[in-house]
Amino acid sequence: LWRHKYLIWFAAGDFKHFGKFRYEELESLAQLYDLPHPIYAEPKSDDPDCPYAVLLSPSASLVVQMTLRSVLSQGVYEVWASGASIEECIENGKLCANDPTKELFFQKGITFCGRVRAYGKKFQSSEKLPLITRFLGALPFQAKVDLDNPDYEFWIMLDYGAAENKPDQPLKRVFFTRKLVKSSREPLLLQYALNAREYIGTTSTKAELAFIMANQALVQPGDLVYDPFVGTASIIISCAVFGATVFGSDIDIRVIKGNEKTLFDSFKQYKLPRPEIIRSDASRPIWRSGMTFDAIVCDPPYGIREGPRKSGTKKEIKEIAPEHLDSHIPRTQVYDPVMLMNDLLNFAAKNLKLGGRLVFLFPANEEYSEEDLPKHPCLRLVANCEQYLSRKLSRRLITLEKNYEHQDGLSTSTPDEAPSHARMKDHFFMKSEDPSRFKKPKNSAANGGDEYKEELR
Amino acid sequence: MKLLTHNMLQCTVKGVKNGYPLKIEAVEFEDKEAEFNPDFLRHVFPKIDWPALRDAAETLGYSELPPQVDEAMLEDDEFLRKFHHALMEIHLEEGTLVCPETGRRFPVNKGIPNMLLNEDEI
Repeated sequence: LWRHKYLIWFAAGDFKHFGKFRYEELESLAQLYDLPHPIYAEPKSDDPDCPYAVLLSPSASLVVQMTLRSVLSQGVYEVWASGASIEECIENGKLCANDPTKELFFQKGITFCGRVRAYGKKFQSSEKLPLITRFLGALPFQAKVDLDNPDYEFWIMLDYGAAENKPDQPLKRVFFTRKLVKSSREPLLLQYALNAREYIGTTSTKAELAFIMANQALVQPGDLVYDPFVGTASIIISCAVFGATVFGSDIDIRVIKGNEKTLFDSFKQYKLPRPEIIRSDASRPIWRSGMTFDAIVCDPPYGIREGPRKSGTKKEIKEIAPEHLDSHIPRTQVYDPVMLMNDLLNFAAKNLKLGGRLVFLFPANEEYSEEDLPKHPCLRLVANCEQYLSRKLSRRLITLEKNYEHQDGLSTSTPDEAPSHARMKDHFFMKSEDPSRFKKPKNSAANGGDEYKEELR
Repeated sequence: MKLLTHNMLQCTVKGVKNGYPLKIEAVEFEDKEAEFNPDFLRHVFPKIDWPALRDAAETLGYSELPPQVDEAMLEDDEFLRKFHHALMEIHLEEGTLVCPETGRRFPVNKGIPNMLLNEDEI
């Protein structure tokens, strides 16, 4: 199997918050589009900020499809040559002159341009032009230069390794590439930004994270995707954008009915089919056995912002007289976060298709350890990524995949000691806290926002 | 709610053994056009309980669905359009879903079924 190299240029977005997510998203998309293993042509950089990943693919169309779905990539580039130095890369590039698949680019009558991008070093424009000339001049191009609207863009990518605050790093590697396609990141984040959405709440998931979750969930057109804590539907909107038929439920009638607006207005705004919404309690599965979803996505309430509730009461249960049944308001009780997690995993083990994924957000403080994560024998951990929020606080995006069919008697295992998320609420509501920070967030979705505490439920 | 959703819901009142399928008592239902998507229909077909879908559609006045189905019919455009209509276009707006075993009634308002249980039912 002959495979070519492609360079992914990661988004220059909020690295600090989504650093490791970029590889996990890439690996999920590689699975979604059946990219053969191994997917990397070079080992992943140990520099978390490094904006490049080099992939192997039998065709450009696979990596183009992946990139069009990616929110953490900026674009994808076909690698013509690489090297440890500029000279080596130019030498290797000369081989392209005899490559029959590249004849097209050496014809007359087309237009092209060259561009330079360096990571870890600032290049002046006066340094760029001679570099471009050296690369393009080494090949028999006959094309005319067009900087505004060229047919083809050639990019020289230089990697000086970590951090711009360390000047004069030695050059690590150079790529000579042709641009294939830009990702859909910008249009997606612009179109689905929370600040322009019809109906949002204080815990609505920002578009960027919601799309990452849909990618982690391997959502494809035609899938049935369910959010058992649907809230304002911010997560299933991203899944619906990717063509899924979406379902949501919530115990709280207010989030479903909204005030003046409802979550249905957001779907109308985006011209998405109306989602199927059910009022129900996540601790009491309402789906018939044997019914399987293709993915389950959610941001469960952990008691930080939203007090989690479930059906039932700890008080004495009185029988409800038939004449009061219609007007009776079912009692709810506090839903312990550890129980909630167990219920969620048990539900996913039963009602996910084999190979389907459960993707959820999980709060973490400095006490977090991987032992805290709930486990289920049918579900395998595929990704566990930290989104940095503040020194004391982060949240993790957990991706589990159902790899074994559910059988009676299989259920979650809880850690011996109470996990850190069991005490999240105590951790946050310290007396000195200023309650004003729980005002409505400003919803700066495009830049990742700054009121991260607002996002934790 | 679509009949797709009805096809998936069951009653989970304490002690219930067969809370499926829920009987529909319709007060208001309507047809809403949805995009016809054969790939989706083929994908979702194995998940569907056919007798439950057929009965539900009939309750809401649509009796075009055949009693017996098999995978081969998924290549037939006429069948797919009927399946699509029943599954995705008939919406129950107001009414009640009734558990076949216990008679427990779950109201549907503005197309949203309320499946919450009372404290003495869990």
